[in-house]
Amino acid sequence: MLVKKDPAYQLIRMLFLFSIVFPFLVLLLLSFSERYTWPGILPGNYSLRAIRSILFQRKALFFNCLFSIFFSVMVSLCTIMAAYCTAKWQSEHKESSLLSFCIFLPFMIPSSVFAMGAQILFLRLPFKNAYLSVFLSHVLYSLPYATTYLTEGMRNNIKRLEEQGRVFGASGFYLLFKVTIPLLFPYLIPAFMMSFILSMSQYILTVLLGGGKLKTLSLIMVPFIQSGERNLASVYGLLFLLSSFLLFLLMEMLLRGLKRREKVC
Amino acid sequence: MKKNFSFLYLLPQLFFTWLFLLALFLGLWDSFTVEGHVSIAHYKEIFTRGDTLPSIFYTLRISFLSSLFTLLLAILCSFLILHFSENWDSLKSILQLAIIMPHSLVALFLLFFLSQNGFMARIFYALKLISDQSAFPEFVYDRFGVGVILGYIWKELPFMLFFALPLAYSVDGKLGEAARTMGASPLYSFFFITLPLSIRQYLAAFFIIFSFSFGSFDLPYLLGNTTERALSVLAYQELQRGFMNRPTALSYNGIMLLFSLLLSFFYFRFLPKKKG
Repeated sequence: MLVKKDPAYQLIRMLFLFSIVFPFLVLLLLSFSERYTWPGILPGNYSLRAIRSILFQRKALFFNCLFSIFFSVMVSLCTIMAAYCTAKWQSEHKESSLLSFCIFLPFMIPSSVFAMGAQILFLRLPFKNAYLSVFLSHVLYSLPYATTYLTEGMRNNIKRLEEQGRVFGASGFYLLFKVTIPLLFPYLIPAFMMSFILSMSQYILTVLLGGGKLKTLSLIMVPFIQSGERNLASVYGLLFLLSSFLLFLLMEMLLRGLKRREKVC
Repeated sequence: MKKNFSFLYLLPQLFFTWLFLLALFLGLWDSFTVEGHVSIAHYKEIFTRGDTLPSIFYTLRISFLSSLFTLLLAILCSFLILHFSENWDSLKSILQLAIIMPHSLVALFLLFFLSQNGFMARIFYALKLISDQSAFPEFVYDRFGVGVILGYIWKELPFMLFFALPLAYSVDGKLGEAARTMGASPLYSFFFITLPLSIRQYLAAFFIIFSFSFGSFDLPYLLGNTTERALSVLAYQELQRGFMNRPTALSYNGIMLLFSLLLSFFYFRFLPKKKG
């Protein structure tokens, strides 16, 4: 009979974890590699050339990275605000399958299908702003995920605790910041991270709607992957993962700071 | 009094859904019009091209196979996870880590790992299993799409587990455990009790990933063959050819849209009914 401490099972577990961690190690390895000539299992030469060239020489690209991180953070904030409104409505009213359909529509329709139609739509609008169109489409595609997380969060009797807060005199923004948001934090954080990652990973939406003006990290990375310049692609990949990881750490610290303040009170 | 204003909370979602539907409609409309009047000339044109039908079959093949294998693997993994009572919280964070990986990076890893010039090929060469670079089987850029399928499985398996496991955990904790106390073997209690009760979540996830992989662009673009291309890649390349080719590209999209809508209908049939 299968037992948890079985070495065979532990091996499977290790393999599974390794398959998740392995890509990160590969990225790390490839970022420092120079030439990967045929029979050698590991790359032959190592150097900091790729990293140096991105951080110091291609300054414009580096600032593009920073901008795309900032852009995705803005997208995530907007997504969370919109998702919060929808989740609040859903928690107070009867379950509506039509609304669920509307929320999950971007889940089901591929982004390339939407992108080409959206190109036509945004060209016909009086104000043609590439940033706005990309921003709106990123929010659109992150909304289903964020709404799912926040609806789940809203199920934990938020309304009752909010009413308690009102009984004690809190109202408006004070209520929002001191009661609702701390209660929702365990759900706001995954929603934020998910929207951030989704926005950063979007390729076809940004390519088609940005019209070349908007360069996100994905847009810079993909040509390098295609061309076979593995070291540069890996450095950008690492930048991508590093920025997500740092953001995640920031959120965790915020969450812990809030929890500590709660305990003190 | 409050009820009158609560619809305001729905405005953001309504705005975005309306934007979405408008964009879809405009794309569809433009694919059906030729210089002002309705016609299916664009669709006729793409079907007379030699590569549209093979592309549809290719796209169907890679998305169906990848989703099917993901479903089977997810069921197997769920059994192992439930049987060994893995901690859900730590598993959740690991699964999220895998889900957040962008498709382009997955393509990079597969290229590094499975290409004829890649890591596995070199290990095989060192172990004297192959004599030359070209003796290693083609996993990427091949006609069947193996690399693309593997990439989809790698990305979608954590998603399916993330989506379906919570329900399986709760069913297993109550009814599965009850069955085991009455003498059912773990295998029996999973496949005949837990699985049938939670299969709706698995199938809902199946349709989501089927639809997603059908229209997805990144993986087939980076790992696909030049002769056999996915529908989304065909549409993109058509668009790149010029402004005048946009309606043709939109007709490719029309096919993808039709298929996605069909699949979403199935998804909503399988959507788990919420209790109470």
